[in-house]
Amino acid sequence: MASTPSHPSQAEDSFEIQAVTQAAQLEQAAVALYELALGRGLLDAGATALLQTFVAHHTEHHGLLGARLEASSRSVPDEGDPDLLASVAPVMAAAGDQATVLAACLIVEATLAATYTEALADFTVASTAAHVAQIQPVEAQHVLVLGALLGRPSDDLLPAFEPTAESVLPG
Amino acid sequence: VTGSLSRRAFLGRGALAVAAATGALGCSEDEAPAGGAGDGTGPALGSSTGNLVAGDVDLLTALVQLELSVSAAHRDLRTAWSEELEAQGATEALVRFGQHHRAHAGRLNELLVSNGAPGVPQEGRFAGLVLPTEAELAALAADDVVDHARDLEDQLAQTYVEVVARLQLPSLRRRVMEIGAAEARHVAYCDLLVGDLPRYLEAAAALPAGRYPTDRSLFVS
Repeated sequence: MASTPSHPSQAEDSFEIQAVTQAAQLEQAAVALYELALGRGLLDAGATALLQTFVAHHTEHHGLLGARLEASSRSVPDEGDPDLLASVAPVMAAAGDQATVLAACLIVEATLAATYTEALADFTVASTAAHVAQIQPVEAQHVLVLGALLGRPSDDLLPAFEPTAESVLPG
Repeated sequence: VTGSLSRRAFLGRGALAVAAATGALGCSEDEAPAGGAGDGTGPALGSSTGNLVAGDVDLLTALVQLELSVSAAHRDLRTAWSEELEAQGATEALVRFGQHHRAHAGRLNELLVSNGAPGVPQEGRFAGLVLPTEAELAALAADDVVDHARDLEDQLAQTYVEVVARLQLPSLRRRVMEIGAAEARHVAYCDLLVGDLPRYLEAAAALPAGRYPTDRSLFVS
């Protein structure tokens, strides 16, 4: 049976560090993409407030993950995940209305929520898993609220189990 | 996004790590669920391997009891306040929440039974959750009915988040948070029902450091 050390120093392996580094990059990409979205001038007051809230959350999540890396004497990435940026930024940049911007935001949030959900099975250090478990439901709520604003059906907004189809973990 | 993002080696891990993660419960991702009250999209569960440590069994058992308790609580709430919930457009949501909680209980029970642990009967309840009496439910203000449901969902979500650090088997953490995040969605949905976007924004701004809190976990005395 897999044992689960409770502190990073007890099981400092490359997988754990790479996972947290990648998560920090995803958070940083989310911040960059939302700043791009907010700069487009296409959002009403409500959507603007929502994305500002999401920026604050993702900035805090990046800080949390960065602290985890620093505790292991590792560098904190200041660049966003290149794949997520390359996938979503062009959509944001070309968007002509609020709905398109929010749909792009939904892709970001669904990616983060699904990736964290799937990754939770892989963390070997309990404290790392606990940190990610505090972030993942917040991203899931982001997905729901964006979906609701976009008029998505209840079946999409309220799955019985958090989906992982959008995870960027290797299939 | 799956189609547009490359599936690059996100974590740089090898097949061995993946096999360890999925195999720890004796599961194959290609196997069908081993029965129970799940929704058919649950974790792939294989034969019993007895891999769960006692602490994990205790936590999963308590979570099943908690899910069954909250499902019953929503049913009682719908019974006591059917007209008000209908007027607030909340009936469908509460019915759905109840279905989810039963599916969650079913999946967690599947995890227990498929690993050789005793399952929890449908009448099982979590003693640490004190539910309101019929009179107390009737005394709620109509405007507070959905908030009451939200409060239950929030306690449930916080419990799942808090449990993650205590689970010994890493693969269980994903299974647990597939459910915990669904409960967190219930919370945000209630916010939208009660006060639309401003209500959600208020709650979101109150999250400590942008994290889902755990101080109201029902497993912490």
